[in-house]
Parts: sequence; C-alpha cells; structure tokens
Amino acid sequence: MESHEHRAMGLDESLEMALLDQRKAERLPLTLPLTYRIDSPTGTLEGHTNTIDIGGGGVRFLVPKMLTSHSICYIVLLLPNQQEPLSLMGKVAWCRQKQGFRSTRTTSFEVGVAFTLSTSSDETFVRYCHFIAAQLLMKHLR
Amino acid sequence: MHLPNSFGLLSGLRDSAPAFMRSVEFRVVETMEEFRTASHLIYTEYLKRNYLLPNSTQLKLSLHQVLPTTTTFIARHPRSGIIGTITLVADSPLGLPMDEVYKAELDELRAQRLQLAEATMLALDTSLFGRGVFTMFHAKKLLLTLRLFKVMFDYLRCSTATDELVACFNPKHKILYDFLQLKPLGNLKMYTGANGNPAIAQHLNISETQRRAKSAAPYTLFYGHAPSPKMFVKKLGFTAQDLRTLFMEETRLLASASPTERHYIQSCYPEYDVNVILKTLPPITPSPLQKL
Repeated sequence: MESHEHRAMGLDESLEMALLDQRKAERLPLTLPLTYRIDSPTGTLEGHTNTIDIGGGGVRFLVPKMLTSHSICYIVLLLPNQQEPLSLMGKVAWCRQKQGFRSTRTTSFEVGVAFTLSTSSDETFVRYCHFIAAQLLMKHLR
Repeated sequence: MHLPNSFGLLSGLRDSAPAFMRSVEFRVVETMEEFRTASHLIYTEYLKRNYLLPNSTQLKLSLHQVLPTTTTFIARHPRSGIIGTITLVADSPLGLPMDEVYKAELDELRAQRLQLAEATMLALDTSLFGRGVFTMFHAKKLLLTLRLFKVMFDYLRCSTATDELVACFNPKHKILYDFLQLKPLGNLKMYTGANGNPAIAQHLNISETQRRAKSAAPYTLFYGHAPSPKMFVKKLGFTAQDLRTLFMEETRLLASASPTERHYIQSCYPEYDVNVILKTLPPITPSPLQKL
C-alpha cells in the first residue's frame, strides 16, 4: 500500500532511503599506486602497493604484517593525471588478516588508515578533496 | 591548481541526475510558504553552527530580501520538502550583505563598472546527512549543493545582467568554492553578520566563465543547454501584506532601513506605499520593567 502511494505521488522509494544517507564519507573502489611508511611500536614497515579503496577519511591497502592501531603512517599517493604525488599523514585505524587468505609469503593483512587531514588552507588537503569530489561525481553521474 | 577531470564530470549535472536526486526539484521560491520554510531552514542550520543568534521568528531574514531583485532558490523533495536553499542578492543602493565586511573589495569591482550579485544563505538540511559530514566527501551533499549553484547560475545568466558573482563564507567552506573556481577577493575577517564568525570572500567573473565555457572543463557545469527565463516566471513577488507581515510585524527590518534605503525600496514597489506599511508597526508595549 505504501509503495502504491509513493508511486501515485511520483515518489521513488529507493530515493527516499538514499536521500537519508548518514555516512560521513563514501568509499571509492580505486586502485592507486601508494608508497607507505608505518612507524609502529615493533618497528618501521615500508613498502609499495595499490589502494583497495579510498575515501574522504582514509585509505585501505594490504601490508605484509599485522599492525598496531594508532601507528603513525606516512603515505605518498599518486593520483591519476597529476604529476605531483600527494604526501599524506594518518594513523592505523584497524588492521586484520585478509579474509579467506591462506598464509604464503605474500601480503596478508588489510590495513585501514585514517588520514589526519585538518586545514583547508593545506594544498595537499585541497588537492585530495578535489580529487575525491571529482571521483564521487564520476561514480554518480556516469 | 590542476583539477583532474573534475569539471568535465560536472557537465553530467546538466542533463542527468543520479537516482537519488531524480525527484528533487531545483527552482526559485514560488510561494510565501516556501520562502518561510527556506528562511527557517537557513535559521535552523545557521543556529547549529552559531552563525546567528536565536530569534523569536526562527527565520533568517535581511533587509536585502525585501527587494524584488533578491531571489531565493530551493531544492524541494516531494516528501521531505525543502532540503536546501541558496539566495542571490543583486547589487543595489542597499549594497550587498557582505558590504558589511568587504565594502572596499566590492567597491574595487564596482569601480570597474561591474554589476555584482552575491550568492548567500546557502543551507542544506543536515538531518539528511548526519553531523560532521564534509560536502566534498559526500556525493549526495555535494550534488545537492552543486545543483543549487547551477539553478542560481542559470537564473543569473538569463534573468540578470550580473558580471561578477561574489560570495562571503566561513573559511571551512573554501574548498567547495575553490572547486567551483571562484577566485580570492577578500582576506580573513570577522563577520558580524555571521555572529562574529570568521569569513573570507571570493568572486567569479561571469564573462570569463562564458569565454572559457568551450575550452575549459571547469565551466561546463554552468554552460549546458541555454537556460530560459521561462524557468523562473513563477518567482515569488511579495505583496504589500507579505512585506508588512515579514518585514514589519515579525522582524521590523523595514523600520531599520535608512531614509535612503526606504526611498529605494519604495521605488522598487511603486504600486505600494511603503510609508503606509511602515505605519502598520504595532505599538511597542512597555515591558513590566519599563512600567515600573
């Protein structure tokens, strides 16, 4: 009955649900080249990889060992069509063994890094914001 | 700054809307009820951010809104009602709202004989998005904002002779205005009109956007199909009673106008007698303390 009423009113029920979107930042499944250095209590981990996804709040990628939450991360991210890479700082928000992964010599842990993005006058932050905004538009307009 | 593909994508806003925006109308305010609802939305959202002090009307109004050259735009959802708004104030003898802090900067543009209009009172219903959602990271919030700008820009192009769009806003919104390619106009200042919060000013030259419309992606958002003035024919015009109710009985903004401002307002409404409207001010009842 409810959906009939919606249709009668020209409403799209999914629109109604979608409009009420409480997520703070949408995640984008983008594969971008990334270099990282993570300083944890057990030592420093460095490497090159690709992102699994990226969003306004941070980035997810694979690392070869378990990391402690709150470890400081330095990330250099290469954005498409941009010559200058972005140097970002963040903290490990979470780290877990990749689901369904069988232990081999390769990377086995997913890490979520939350960026410490703060000031709107920061050139890096501005570039990052514009990139994410452009990607969001691409996702929703194409 | 290099903005990879950003505005090429914005051109998609011209003709297509993602599913979640399909039912949202972007247009001018057509009725007093819509005007009040939009003003209340601005009031509510600005109060949350401490951009204004509470008032009994729970509306965000200014003397500039008396003028028929001030236009309020809304995003209206068939079920949720007005979920966003932005206002365009054309320059006039009353000046622009941001003259309060950026008069020198605006006067420089005026000295070049440029016709100015200010984009102001942008507000979205944040209950739709949750607290602390950053526009640039949230697709729906971003798209609603950009579509509001687009309908305002369409109006600006086809119904006004504006040369320069100006805006004054909290610095935390600078990234959005940079994304829209507005250029710096004024440095950081304290804005009394925003309850003493910090503000910066930016501007966008319309003819520059027009010149670059075909060659530069940034302006494709604004230059899709040519807008028609017919889109805006239902724009709300205040009756004498509306003016009396909103700007005298409820807020007394008309009473605060200087003689020069009143004269100009009168010239905008030759069919009404502004002095008669001014005389409708109900007598001020002395407070119990005054009686003592």
